[in-house]
Amino acid sequence: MSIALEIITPEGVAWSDKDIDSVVLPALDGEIEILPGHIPLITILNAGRIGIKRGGNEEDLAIDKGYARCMGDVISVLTEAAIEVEDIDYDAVEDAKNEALKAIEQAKLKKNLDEVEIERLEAIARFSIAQLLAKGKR
Amino acid sequence: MKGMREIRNRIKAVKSTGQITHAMELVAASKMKKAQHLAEAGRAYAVLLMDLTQMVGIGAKSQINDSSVETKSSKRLIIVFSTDKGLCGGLNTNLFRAISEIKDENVGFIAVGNRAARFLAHAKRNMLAKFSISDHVKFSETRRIASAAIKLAKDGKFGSIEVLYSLYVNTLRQEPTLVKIAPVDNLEIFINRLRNSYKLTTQERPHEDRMMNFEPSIEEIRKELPSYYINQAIYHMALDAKASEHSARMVAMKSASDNADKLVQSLTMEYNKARQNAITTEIIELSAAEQISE
Repeated sequence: MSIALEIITPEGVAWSDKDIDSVVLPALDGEIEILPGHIPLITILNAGRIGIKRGGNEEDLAIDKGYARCMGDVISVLTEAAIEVEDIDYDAVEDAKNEALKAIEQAKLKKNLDEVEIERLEAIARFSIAQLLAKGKR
Repeated sequence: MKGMREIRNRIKAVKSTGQITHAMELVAASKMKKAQHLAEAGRAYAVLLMDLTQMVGIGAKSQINDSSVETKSSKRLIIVFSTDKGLCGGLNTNLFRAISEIKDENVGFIAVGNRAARFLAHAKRNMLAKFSISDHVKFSETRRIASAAIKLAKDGKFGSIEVLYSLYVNTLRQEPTLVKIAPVDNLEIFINRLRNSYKLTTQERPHEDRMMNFEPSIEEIRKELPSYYINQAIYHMALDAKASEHSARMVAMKSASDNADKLVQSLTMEYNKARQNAITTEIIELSAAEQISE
């Protein structure tokens, strides 16, 4: 028995494969590990790390917040953004995070808040932190 | 046969029209590529989100959006995605035909794009709001439309929110589509249609007999998912509508340029014939005059 996993973002299918032994998801209440035969589940995901175990290998991805559906040994993850840990550029992400946080601080001082812009910045900061954490675990 | 001068003027006019349509074709082609890329990339996401929302709705054993619409009301709110400019083949006409087929009196319309607004005003339909979206659709633009629709539905006690748009299949094929996005009760047919016309390769909804579980709880999921879904669905449909518009315009302009080329060819032929005729007549006249003088 094995699991199929696909991670889908607005930019397309970010990751998709079959024959996976187990998947760790960053659920809202903490990490959950999904093994073959798991009960059907729909869960909210935090920004964080997805761990994929296949054979003896382990692969990590960082994702933004989203939703996951686990059903009949197929896991579909719906998220705003996803990146493989090997592709994360630590320094660039660190800079992006700091810049976004700074911009949020400045924007909040202004009187007429642009909600959309703040949400966009928060998304950058959130995803950056998730990437940093996922990379740090290695 | 027409005079040579007349034909020459005609050729000049057709040539310059052909140049204009050719330029418009090139502009539309570059916009089309961008719009198609955006629309295609978001397909898998939109379809999975719809599927997920529908499942949460079933799990809750009640309509997911009963907070945003009055399910008992028979009034319908329809968002129409048309274009701002014309010259895009039958795209808008097909949409307007679909509007004409809606005979229901209890319908409110939200027009997106000038063409729809003009048509609705002319047909004296109940138009409640009008929006415009840029060529490069931004989420913030469609978000304004979505929040206006939700607010209108609440204030006006509408029973459903529907969207009428041109579903983008490929460059040559755009289908006018009317789909109910709230309340979510029968998206399955639409999801299957999208999967087929988009030729999606992502996993289909697997078969499962056991009860669905929700984490942290179904209430928690229902708090955010519905409004997120409406926003994303409208965004995706706007992207599709734009991809359809630029594809249709590109094709229309291409056939216009081809027609202009063909017309120039046949006119040139006619011009050459007229010229030859004139020369022949002149020679005959000359030789006749010479015979007489001999």
